[in-house]
Amino acid sequence: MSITDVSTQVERTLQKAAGAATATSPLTAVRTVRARTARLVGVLTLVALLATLPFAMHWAGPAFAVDYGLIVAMCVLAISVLGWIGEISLAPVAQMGFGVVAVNVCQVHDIPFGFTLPIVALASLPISLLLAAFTLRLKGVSFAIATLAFAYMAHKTFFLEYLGTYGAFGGSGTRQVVRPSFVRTDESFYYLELAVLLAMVLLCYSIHRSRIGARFTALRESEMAFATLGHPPAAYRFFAICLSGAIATVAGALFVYLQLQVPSNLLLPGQAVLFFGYAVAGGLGSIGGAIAAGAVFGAIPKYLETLTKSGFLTYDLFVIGLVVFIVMMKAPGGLAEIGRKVWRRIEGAPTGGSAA
Amino acid sequence: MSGNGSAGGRSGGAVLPNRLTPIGLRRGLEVMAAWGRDGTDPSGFEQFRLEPFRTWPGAAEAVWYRPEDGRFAEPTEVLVVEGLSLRFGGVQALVGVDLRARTGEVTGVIGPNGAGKSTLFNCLSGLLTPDAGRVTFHGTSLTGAPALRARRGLGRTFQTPRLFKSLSVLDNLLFGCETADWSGHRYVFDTRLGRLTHAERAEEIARLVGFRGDLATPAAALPFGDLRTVELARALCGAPSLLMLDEPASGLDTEQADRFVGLMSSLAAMGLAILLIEHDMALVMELCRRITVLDFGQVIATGTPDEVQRDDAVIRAYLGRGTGGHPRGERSGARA
Repeated sequence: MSITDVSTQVERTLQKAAGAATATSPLTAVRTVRARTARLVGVLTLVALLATLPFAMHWAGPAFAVDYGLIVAMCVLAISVLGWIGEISLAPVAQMGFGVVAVNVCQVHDIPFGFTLPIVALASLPISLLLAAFTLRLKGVSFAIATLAFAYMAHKTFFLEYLGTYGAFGGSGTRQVVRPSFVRTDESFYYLELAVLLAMVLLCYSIHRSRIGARFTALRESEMAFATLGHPPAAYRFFAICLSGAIATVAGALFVYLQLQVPSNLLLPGQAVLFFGYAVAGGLGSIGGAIAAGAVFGAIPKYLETLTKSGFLTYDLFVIGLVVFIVMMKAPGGLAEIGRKVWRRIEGAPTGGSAA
Repeated sequence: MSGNGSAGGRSGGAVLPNRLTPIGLRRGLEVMAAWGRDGTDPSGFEQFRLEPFRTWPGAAEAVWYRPEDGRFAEPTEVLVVEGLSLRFGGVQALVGVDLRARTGEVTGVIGPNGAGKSTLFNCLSGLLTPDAGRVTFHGTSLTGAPALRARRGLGRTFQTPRLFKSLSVLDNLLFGCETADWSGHRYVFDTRLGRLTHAERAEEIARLVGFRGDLATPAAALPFGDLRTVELARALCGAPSLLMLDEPASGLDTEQADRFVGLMSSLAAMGLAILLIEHDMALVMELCRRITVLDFGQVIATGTPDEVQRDDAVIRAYLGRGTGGHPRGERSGARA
């Protein structure tokens, strides 16, 4: 049996699992045409939407909202990556903080913008190494609490001093950064963020679909079996921590470019709990869910803030909490599960089948 | 591991020397022949029964088999455990356990529940670190993380099958194949497997252990018997030279258990060393050449099935310590 034969078998079984009828059935042919059309229309709509979003949403508010949504999506993606190995990280906000610091350092040393993001991504490695030193042998709640402890230590010992508090808590000012000229406006900055997010999504997607992704799944499901099959769990855990850290750190870098200044009080470690809530509501481990969470919990509240002339700020966390609550009640798999169901309905496939 | 099985010489008339013929091999061959008769396998197991080493290429290409003289190599000691001890807080889980496993043999590890059998396996596979004792594997000390031990040729299954349930059967098997490539070990029971692609190898081994389903099936959708079969196949995909099986026959029906006996006999005949924990005494007695009996973490008897069955300490451990003979632990022995 060749690889091709096995692939065909896999495809056939997936079709069976999805409840699809045989290929010769007219119903299947109609469904296939419908699914292809839906896919084409869906992709075109998505591309059009992404290409024009900051302008198309001008009626609801400035492009800052959607820019912020993309940052939230990146942070949630960082949490989701650790979800692949079954761990909960409460360190992404701290890792974002290191991204903020790295951008400041780059600016102080007049490093060109083109090098800044790669440097930030590389700078995340020693931080991830440090975090891994704390957490590599921990699992579950212990892992989550250790990452939170790491975040508090980073905040108290480093961010408060280096980034300042912009006058809050009796502290001093903060450091400013300057955006490069080609992304001076929030609209143009959106395209930079979008490109970075797409790169992250492609990277994560290709990893998730590869054998490394299968190993992450195996590690999550039975670390004992994984290890006794000759695969070192620590190596894969470390890789996931590094990947997650790089995403969060780059998100932090973009955050400071968006805000132009990020005092340490915007990087409170407790914020990570909120982001974790977004990740769960988005669908922990799901790449699409992370992007949806960015839109629902990042961009939309900012637009509502503008539309209500900041009146929404009084209720924002209540409304967000309510949305998380409803999503969890209706779809334990989060926004990703809702998205899959809707998509299957559009494609005309039975909704009870497995996800595509 | 001695022997040279790489040559393509499948010389006919291969003779199994009696001293090396594992108990149950004949039955194993018969069972495998029966599989061929139900039309599921085209490779002619009826002939296999008559001329196994002409018909089944894998049989003639076992590392342990020497085609030049049509004989198996001398069995060698793969695993030597000396004085292994482990304490969990106030509980002494293992007390100076000694154990040996040789190529071409199934070695049984039996004992009542809580005797320390699975703990022993966990120590050997590196999941637990013993407090004292020495483990030698292929002549060198066996230490390090479970992954390193697996890459040295130590394969195992678990009491409760631990398949990666959201992955397909094929994906599960590929984990073993990857390990085999990383370690560079040959498949003791069929060297030609190493020349196949991962997917082909997985398919061959799945069929060898009797998995008849679709390799693309998610493991979560498998019935219990298939979970055990696939877990065994996954362990074999890793090209182990020592296979440790933790209650592999529990939950299997009579037919599946018969197949299992046949398969184990055949794998052992091809040169694999097998350590077997099992509560089904009839199966153990049929399959194992030597048996080590544990009770409260200590070895209370070691010997051939006949010796062990006559041992007073073993009888006491299984029937109870008092003269009243209250049953202690379970006794299955349901298979006649």
